[in-house]
Amino acid sequence: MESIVVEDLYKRFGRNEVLRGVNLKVRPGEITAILGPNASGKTTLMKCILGLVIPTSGKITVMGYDTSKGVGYRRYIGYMPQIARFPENLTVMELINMVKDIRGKEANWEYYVNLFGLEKFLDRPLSVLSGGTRQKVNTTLAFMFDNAIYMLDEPTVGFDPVASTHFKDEVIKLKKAGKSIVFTSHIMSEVEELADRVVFLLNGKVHFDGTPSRFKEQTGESTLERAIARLMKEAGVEDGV
Amino acid sequence: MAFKLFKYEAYNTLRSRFIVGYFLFFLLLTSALSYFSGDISKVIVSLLNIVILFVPLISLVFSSLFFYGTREFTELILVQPVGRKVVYFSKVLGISLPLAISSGAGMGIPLAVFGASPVHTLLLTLSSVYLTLIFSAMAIMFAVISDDRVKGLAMGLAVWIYASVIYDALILFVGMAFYDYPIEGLIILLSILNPVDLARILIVMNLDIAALMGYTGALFVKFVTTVKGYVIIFLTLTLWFVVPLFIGTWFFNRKDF
Repeated sequence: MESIVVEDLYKRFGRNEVLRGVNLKVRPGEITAILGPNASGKTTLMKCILGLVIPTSGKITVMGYDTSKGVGYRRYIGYMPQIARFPENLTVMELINMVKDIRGKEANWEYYVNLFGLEKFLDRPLSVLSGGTRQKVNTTLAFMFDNAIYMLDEPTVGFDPVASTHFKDEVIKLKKAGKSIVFTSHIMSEVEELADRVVFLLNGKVHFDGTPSRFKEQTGESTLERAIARLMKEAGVEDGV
Repeated sequence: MAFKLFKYEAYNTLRSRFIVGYFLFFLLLTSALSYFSGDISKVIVSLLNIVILFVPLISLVFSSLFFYGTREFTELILVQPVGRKVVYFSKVLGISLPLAISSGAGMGIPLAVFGASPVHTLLLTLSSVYLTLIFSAMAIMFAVISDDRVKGLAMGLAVWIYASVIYDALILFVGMAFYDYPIEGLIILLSILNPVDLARILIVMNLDIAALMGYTGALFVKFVTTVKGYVIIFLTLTLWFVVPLFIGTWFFNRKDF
């Protein structure tokens, strides 16, 4: 069974139609990278799946549950937002306990606290943490539960090379454990290193869906970065990825 | 789940230094006024002016800025398996109740210590609590409607100016224009339609100075000091909280984050 099925998804913000009939299937044990130029709808697509953005039309199924019918499906998803900003007045430990309490599920937070060296920050309020440390807390919150799906929006922004390496190792471990991982990134080397599958969004539609090597073959380019640049040029979009 | 979320929202609000400062402000002000003034009912009148002008304004600004400032927190909660209505209710109560309790307790404790009338103390603190809840619910409703924090805050401030300043001028104008007609009932009705006026009437009509307000004053006293009057006033104040809460929920359920 697919973990996530997106069928004919449309999302309009006022006059701006961000998603125009997106179809996508995410399978277990697979790392999917969602790529596209700025404002191509990557984050909107993720947020539609998570229920943060309400689709204009279309259907999303997560682990067999229609997401428009209830919120229970969210217990299968671990989410790492793009900007790691949390309640300023809580400490790291209070935040971990809060999310644990709300989910009502066992959490393996100690492992990630150790992995990212967060022990000394546990009693500090989130407002005094640096961007990189916040991102580590963000990762801990997303990874600490045993979920079927992990959705990561620009996960390595702010990470130092050590944290970034730990992060990538964890993602590969999760994949091997049969989890579905969906992520967005503008660092193409990271995508090449991690992704089994690339979904390229352009003008609110899936322009390409396949393996990174097929993506490069199809465009006749040697790297993902060049392949994307070529596709964007052909489509008349010359914005950043 | 609703209580769990409320607990964390309220805890986050209570950890804000502003809430502590706000409580201390009322505590010190009420203590100082009670200590230096011989007549405790004068203290009630002074505090009343603060409650009807200052409390709604602070509640609006604090709730609006706090809601905008904790948007990521809201997103963090919304990706958990929790319904939006529960998230919104706990958010409104989690922001407004700590604020309401700090102003209510800040005034209520010294008034009780200095021996103010229990009825006056209760009415003043209840008015403060209600005005906080009402204006917080309104501020958060506007913050949900508009993503632009300047616009959201401006909408709230417009309601505050209207309720605190313009509305009284309108009532005065109606009173002057229809001076020759028996419009006391209309004036009572118009006053009920404004929560700030309701709080004012509730307290003033229970003080001795109500006797100085002539025929209309006497009618107000007659209205306010009956069980029916109290029921109408508190029901209306509750409605002033519940209506923005539900309008806000409607928008929150449809909002994109």
